[in-house]
Amino acid sequence: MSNMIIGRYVPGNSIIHRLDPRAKLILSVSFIILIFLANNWLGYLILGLFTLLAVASTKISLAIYLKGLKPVLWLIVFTIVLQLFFSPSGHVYWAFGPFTVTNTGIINAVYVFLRFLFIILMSTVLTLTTQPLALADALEYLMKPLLKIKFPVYELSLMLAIALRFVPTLMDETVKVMNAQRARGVDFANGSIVKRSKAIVPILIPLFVGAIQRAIDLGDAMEARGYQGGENRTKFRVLAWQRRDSLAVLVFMCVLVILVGTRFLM
Amino acid sequence: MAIEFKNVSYVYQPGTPFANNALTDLNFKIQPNSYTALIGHTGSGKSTILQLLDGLIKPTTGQIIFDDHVVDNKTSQKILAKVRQHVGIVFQFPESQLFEQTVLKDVMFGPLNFGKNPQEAQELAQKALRLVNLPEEHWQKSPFDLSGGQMRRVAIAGVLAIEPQVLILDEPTAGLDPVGRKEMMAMFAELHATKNLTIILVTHQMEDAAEYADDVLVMANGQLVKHATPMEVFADITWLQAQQLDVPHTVLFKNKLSAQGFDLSANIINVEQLALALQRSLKKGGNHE
Amino acid sequence: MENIIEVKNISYQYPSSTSKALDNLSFSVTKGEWVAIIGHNGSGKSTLAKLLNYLLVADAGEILIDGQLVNEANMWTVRNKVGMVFQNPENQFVGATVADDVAFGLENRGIERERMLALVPAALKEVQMDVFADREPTHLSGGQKQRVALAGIIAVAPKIIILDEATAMLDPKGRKEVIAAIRKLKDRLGKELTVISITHDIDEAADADRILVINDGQLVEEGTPATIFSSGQRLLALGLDVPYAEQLKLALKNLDVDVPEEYLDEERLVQWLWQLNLKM
Repeated sequence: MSNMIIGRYVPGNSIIHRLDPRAKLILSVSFIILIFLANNWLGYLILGLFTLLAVASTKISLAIYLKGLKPVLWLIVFTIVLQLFFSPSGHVYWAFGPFTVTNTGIINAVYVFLRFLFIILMSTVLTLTTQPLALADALEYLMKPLLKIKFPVYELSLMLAIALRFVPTLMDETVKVMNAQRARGVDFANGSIVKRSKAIVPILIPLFVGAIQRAIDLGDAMEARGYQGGENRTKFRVLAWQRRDSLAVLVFMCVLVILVGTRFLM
Repeated sequence: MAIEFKNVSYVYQPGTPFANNALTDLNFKIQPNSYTALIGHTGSGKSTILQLLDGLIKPTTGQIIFDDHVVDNKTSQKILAKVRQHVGIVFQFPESQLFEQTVLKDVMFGPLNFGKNPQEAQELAQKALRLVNLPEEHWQKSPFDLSGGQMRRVAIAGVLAIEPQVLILDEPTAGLDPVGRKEMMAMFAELHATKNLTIILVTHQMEDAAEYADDVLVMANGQLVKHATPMEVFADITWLQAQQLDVPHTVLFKNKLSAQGFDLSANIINVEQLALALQRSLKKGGNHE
Repeated sequence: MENIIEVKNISYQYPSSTSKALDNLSFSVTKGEWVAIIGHNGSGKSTLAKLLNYLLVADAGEILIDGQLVNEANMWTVRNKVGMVFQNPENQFVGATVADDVAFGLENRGIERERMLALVPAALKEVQMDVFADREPTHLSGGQKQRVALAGIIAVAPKIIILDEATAMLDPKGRKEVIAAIRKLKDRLGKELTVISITHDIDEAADADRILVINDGQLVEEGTPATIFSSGQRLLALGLDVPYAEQLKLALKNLDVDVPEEYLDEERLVQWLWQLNLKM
């Protein structure tokens, strides 16, 4: 669990850390869409520079980013191989049975690799520099228009915030229950798949029972403290859009314009 | 079973920037059939020691010697599993590890895991449930239908059913009411006396340590700061307060009596001892007249 | 004296249970009083706490809080008047950080943000948790979490605080910190705050003006700590603790030393023993 980098927050005080989570969320999502606009090497170069700029501005060590790539490494390799060997058109360099390597195949493989790289790096930038709770706040704000169609935006975001708040609690609990069952002779590390999946039951049931009790207690505590649903509540935590956020959007727009430009240029 | 720690240290996440020395160079021996109290503040390293004692983790450096097994950094999981079979651990709030459909099945879980056949496991489970005084009418019930105190007894039976030679108790009375606490501590004292169990008790209740233990380990910041008899540890108010540990009530009260002029022995750490000393002192006072 | 809580003949039975958790219970609490409710686990204490602010609904009888009947129509006004600290520190921490958690009750009451920005730090300061305002709950001890829960209540300034075994899951240090914080608050607010403390901790109960002893859902004894503690044997029979001075008295009694029937606190017991020593 401790190797998972995606979804982890690393505290810091860089410009990216200080950006409004709404700005970061919108820009990251837009960037991922933007990636698919690039169709030539110049476009990819610009995207690459922009990504590197974002990564560098977080002031978080590159090693952490590289660690973040690890879990998806096989997915990337698989897609590249697919592109590399199964491109039907273009100049053929090498062929064997169903496998052909062509110049378009190589180019496509490189592009696909870059897309993956940019998407993962950018989303890692978002999660490394933004507390999950701030992201939940940003989501709540961006979903506000849905209130018009009676969508329970506030309830949903409170649920999300509480879920995030209880993640460490449940992780601790998992470790405790696992230790207790190991002490009673359960071996999680060895044995057949069947044996190992059976070993999950003595973990899951206590965890569920515990989580349900927590939910009941929490419900009581929330009601006792006057929680009556999302209506008429005020908010202690507010998001403040600053000049730097507008600036970030402006920089992004420039990249967008240049990128569109390259499509005509090349 | 005797357990000996030789130069044991434990580091969390070694070799990373988060490396954290949980235990530093521990040396001590727990004698067979002893009743040891392990005390110290939250975060002093007690829970790391517990996990080492039960073979749930391995020391970063040093050795732990369990009669005929030696555990160090390179010990295999197989050996650790054997250690676990001889050392039972009752974690804090152990009722949160129950999961089976019936009480009996839950208690059988440990013996089955350690290779007993269902018949043997059931016999061990019944024996353990009798040891914790859980009436037979509850054995076929779901553990979740019992009261909190009963659930805790089931969980303890689940550990006893493994027939450990050493029983580790981590705050076993936390959350119980006064009568539940007394019954629980009396039950462990009886197991200690009749089953020759070696007991290691982790507790914040200095009264319990002073009452039941015959050996005390005091931890602070990952180091063993004192290993002595309860009398030596608890009679020394100045030292206890310097360690920011609670002083047993009897010792505090005895001090008030001494300040008033009573001449009482230093070897008094529980209420029965104090009452006895007072009775003698009062009688002696009578002789003077 | 004005009664801030009046409980009249209430009974409650859990749907899954075969016996009554509370059985025709009546008592009242005057404004500004500190009342401890003691009883062994399963005696009905916590059920009572939940009935007081309508988290559970009584099968029979009625409860008045500050003159208002506790019922469906009044439940939110009643909850505004009653703050509760529950037993499990982890399971009542709603906010992502300490400050967020303290603000939760204020947000529910629709208080404007400007006022929250003043109320939250002030409440945290009162329980000496102000330096932890931005901490997440994972990095707090049990005692710290309970003090945050208390701050969340202080911020909304209720007339009554119910401590439902609030110190039961804490280590001795945490317990002392929480009790100290409550005492300080009570000293500051005096008559304006009524405290109901449901507890096993005999030292906590000794702080109260009055103790109610509950057994099997019924009120079995009621009086000042001195009166309640003087019947030490009876408390032990009900599965409860007695203060240390009383434990020593009982131990002496077992050794055939004649001890006084009335309750003596530690100082007075020392004096009494000394007198006895001189007389002999």
